[in-house]
Amino acid sequence: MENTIRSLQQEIIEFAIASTADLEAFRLKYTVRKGLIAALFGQLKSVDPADKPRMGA
Amino acid sequence: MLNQLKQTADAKLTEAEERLASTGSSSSKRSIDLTLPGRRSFTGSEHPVQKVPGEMKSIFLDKKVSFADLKATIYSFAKQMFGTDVKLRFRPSFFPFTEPSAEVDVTCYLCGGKGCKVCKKSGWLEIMGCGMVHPNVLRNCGIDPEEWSGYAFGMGVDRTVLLRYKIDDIRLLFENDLRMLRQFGA
Repeated sequence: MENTIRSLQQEIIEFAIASTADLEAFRLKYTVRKGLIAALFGQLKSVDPADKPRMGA
Repeated sequence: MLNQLKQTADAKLTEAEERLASTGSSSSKRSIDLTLPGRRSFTGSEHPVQKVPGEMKSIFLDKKVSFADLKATIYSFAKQMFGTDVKLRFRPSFFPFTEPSAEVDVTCYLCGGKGCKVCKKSGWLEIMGCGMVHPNVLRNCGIDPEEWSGYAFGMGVDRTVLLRYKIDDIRLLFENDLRMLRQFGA
């Protein structure tokens, strides 16, 4: 999961938003309730309890 | 890590929205939804009862907003404020910054619409003025009235309190009588 978060973070930083269409695409892909970030929060329950505080932070 | 990721995404989204809005891309503009409660003093003739009456103004701007949206909003407000059996009446009126404009009446809380001294035998009590924001107002604010429209309404807070709590004299609200104030948790 850690690798997924790191790669997603890199992907977000590199995402180029030049128009409102890009903005909407970014929003729909990452920040909405059914987006990638929310999905990762859903996977948090399967993380080892010892790692959970670090992953959630 | 996850919260940090979310913050990164949110920050990027906000930064991009602001950047696109500042470049004048009209489709990136957001709707305006404002409610402004406050007090205002009368200039010129003095109000007979209240020196500084409480008021509340609301404005909503978006694409394809119609008078139907205004009516639905006011109906929803009136039903929550005065009960589900309240009836409303929209009377055409004039205000400088809205076109078309209307005044909104509700059925009298004392007589239920039959006519009494409070409603001056009409059965109705005025609660607010409203209308669609005048295109010139939008133009003067740099907003294209062909693309954007909106509605606005304003009401006296004290009068709304009278109607809601069935008080028959507005002066009771300003006399600081503890017997009155204690009924509202003061």
